[in-house]
Amino acid sequence: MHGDQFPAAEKILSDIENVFKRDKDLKDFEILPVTVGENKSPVLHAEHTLGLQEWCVRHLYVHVYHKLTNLKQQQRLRREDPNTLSRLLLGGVLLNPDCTFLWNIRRELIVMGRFDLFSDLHINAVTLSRRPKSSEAFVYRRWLLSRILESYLDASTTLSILEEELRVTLMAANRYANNYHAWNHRMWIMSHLPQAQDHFINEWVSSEEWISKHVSEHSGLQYREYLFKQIMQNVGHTYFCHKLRLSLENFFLPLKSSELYCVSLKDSTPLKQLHSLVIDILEQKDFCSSCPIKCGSNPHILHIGFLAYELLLVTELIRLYPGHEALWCHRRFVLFSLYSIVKEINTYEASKSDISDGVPHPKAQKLSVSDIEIECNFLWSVIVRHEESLLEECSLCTPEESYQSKLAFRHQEWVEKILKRSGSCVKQSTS
Amino acid sequence: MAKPMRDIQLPKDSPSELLLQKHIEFLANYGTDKNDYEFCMTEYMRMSGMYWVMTALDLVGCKDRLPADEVISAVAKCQEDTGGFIPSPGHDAHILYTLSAVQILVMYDAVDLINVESLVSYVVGLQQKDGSFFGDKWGEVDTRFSFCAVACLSLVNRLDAIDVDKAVEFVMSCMNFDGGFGSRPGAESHAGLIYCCVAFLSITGELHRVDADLLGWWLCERQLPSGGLNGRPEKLPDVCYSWWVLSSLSILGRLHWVHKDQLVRFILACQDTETGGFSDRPGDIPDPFHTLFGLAALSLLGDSEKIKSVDPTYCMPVHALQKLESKPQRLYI
Repeated sequence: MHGDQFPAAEKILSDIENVFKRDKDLKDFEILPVTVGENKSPVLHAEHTLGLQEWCVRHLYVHVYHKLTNLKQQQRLRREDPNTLSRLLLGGVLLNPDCTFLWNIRRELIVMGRFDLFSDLHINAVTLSRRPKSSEAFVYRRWLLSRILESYLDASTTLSILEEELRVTLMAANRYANNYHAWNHRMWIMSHLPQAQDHFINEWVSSEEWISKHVSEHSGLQYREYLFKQIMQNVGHTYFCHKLRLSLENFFLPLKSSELYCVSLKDSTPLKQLHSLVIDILEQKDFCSSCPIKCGSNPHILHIGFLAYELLLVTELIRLYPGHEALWCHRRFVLFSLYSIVKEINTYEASKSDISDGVPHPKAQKLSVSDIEIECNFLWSVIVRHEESLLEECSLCTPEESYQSKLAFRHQEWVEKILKRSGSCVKQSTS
Repeated sequence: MAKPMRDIQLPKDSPSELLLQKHIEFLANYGTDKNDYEFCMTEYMRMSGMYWVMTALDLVGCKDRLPADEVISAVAKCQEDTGGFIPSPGHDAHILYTLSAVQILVMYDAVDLINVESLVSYVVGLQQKDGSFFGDKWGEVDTRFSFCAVACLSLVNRLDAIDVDKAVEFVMSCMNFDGGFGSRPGAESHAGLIYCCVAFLSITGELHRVDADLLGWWLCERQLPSGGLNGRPEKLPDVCYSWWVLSSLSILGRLHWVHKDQLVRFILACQDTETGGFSDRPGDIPDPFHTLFGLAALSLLGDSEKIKSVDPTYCMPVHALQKLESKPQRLYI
């Protein structure tokens, strides 16, 4: 069927365009399950939602597609009436946002200055409301944003862009579980928008609330892992340190009943510093400093504080919601990060103790840390206590929770066989 | 409240034998009865569609069911002056379709019919300073495009044209703590992208950079009680991940780490007994994409003598890769 055989097309496209013109706050696009056309427009508009009756979708898309491919092949896109072209493209991307070719024509028109960047962001957001996992729609969105970011933006514009991107990605994440493209886009925004780093802690706080309600969200938790890494790189003391103080206290509690509590460690090493800092926290010493965890005094305490907070959070979620693989995967991330700190501290200790008269022993240059040395680290001994008590609890699971015990068993194996390997690669040959 | 694992139950009447003849008919006739709407919705990826159909037919020894001359000339006509390939007339060049085109032409031994120099300069032009690759002139970066770039170039024996060291550096920057890879630095591990990155490292001979045990562990955890594989934690099993997970394990020398019989049973259950072809999960509508990956997975599993052996790096029949100057790397344990 050729496009001209659907004479109602231009009228429908113009009705759609009018909805966009009328409603600058249009949010949603939906196909309504009305399969027989009546003698009135299939375009509806209510509560910032654009509705299109299903009966016309096929005819309309075929019409749009043929018109646009013909114009393109005859190289007449530039000469076409701008209003007609704009309507065709609007219908096209609403009905098939995966089609790169349609977004590419929009790109050409943006470059020529015929389409407006912000209007296109709006249209793109509406297409995502119906197709929240469309990779091409998100790719186009980033392309628009990159162009917007090329110019100078005042603080309020930057903030409104950030708010809109956070809204769009959250909408897409809420509509499609484990939405790879939505979370990727959110990471991109947080990494590319100027001043986005000022919002990392707020994101960290709101992400906790979200993942606590979406405990199967591997992608949402992965975003939290991204935030953690960013916070470690960019942020020092914040109001969050007060929360970390309590987490550190609870996390290190098992140390009180351990022989490592009062052990005297070598002077002025980071391990010794860390140890006395932890003892101070456990003894509830009143700090004069403005930071309750003295985050500036030891390179690791902020890092460990966030991870302690996270380990306690994920433990609670695993207990409350048994049988969610995503939570156990996230626990692996927390353990991996803690283990990396333990290794880093031990490597430093090992290299220190191998220096005599200012000359390192040959073995110190290897910078490898044996399992035995790690077992002796007070931080690792606390981590092991936390793992043991959770696994013990999971071994008492009811038959209905058998998936939880399976996940717990896999977790234990992962910690034993994968995390605690001394070398990163086992013997293997290549060809 | 305990939650059951996200998985499916295989229907009791699922097919358990390979319906080879039906698949051949499904593939050979695919597209001929499509209505205008479906055609218009999918034309933007037609070149890849041709690659899926013809590779699948080649794997089952029926390449001659397609009109070779017509296919070759249609593909060759899709090369633009820039050297890149468009998926279909009127659409735009992209590295995804450029790789599909090159794969088809290699399988027909017809690379001579295109302008290889401009193809090479197209791919070279997409590489960025950090070693990553754009997918097209509009500038999106993704590890898929890194794989497409080195696959394209190595298939015409011109891998030396790009900065391989930088390209490797970028791909390695996308590795996560769980051993997997995502589309960009910091992005979630995903079996499809893991395949792209592992295959990339096998082409560039840098597999020693992968923590094969850690990654192999993650990949094996994709297998669910139904036997099928998912692509990420908490997702449903899907036949296409049979390919992406398995081919990665195969390149890493750890194919025997999955439960083979259960996986074969899952893949066979995804056949459409009426129309032929495989779908993502039992009972869904079959398509050439899942049909190729179902057949290719069965080939890796050595399940049927009727399917030729497939190369896990290129997803092409091994016999079509004889002219490659350097063979893709593999790990062994």
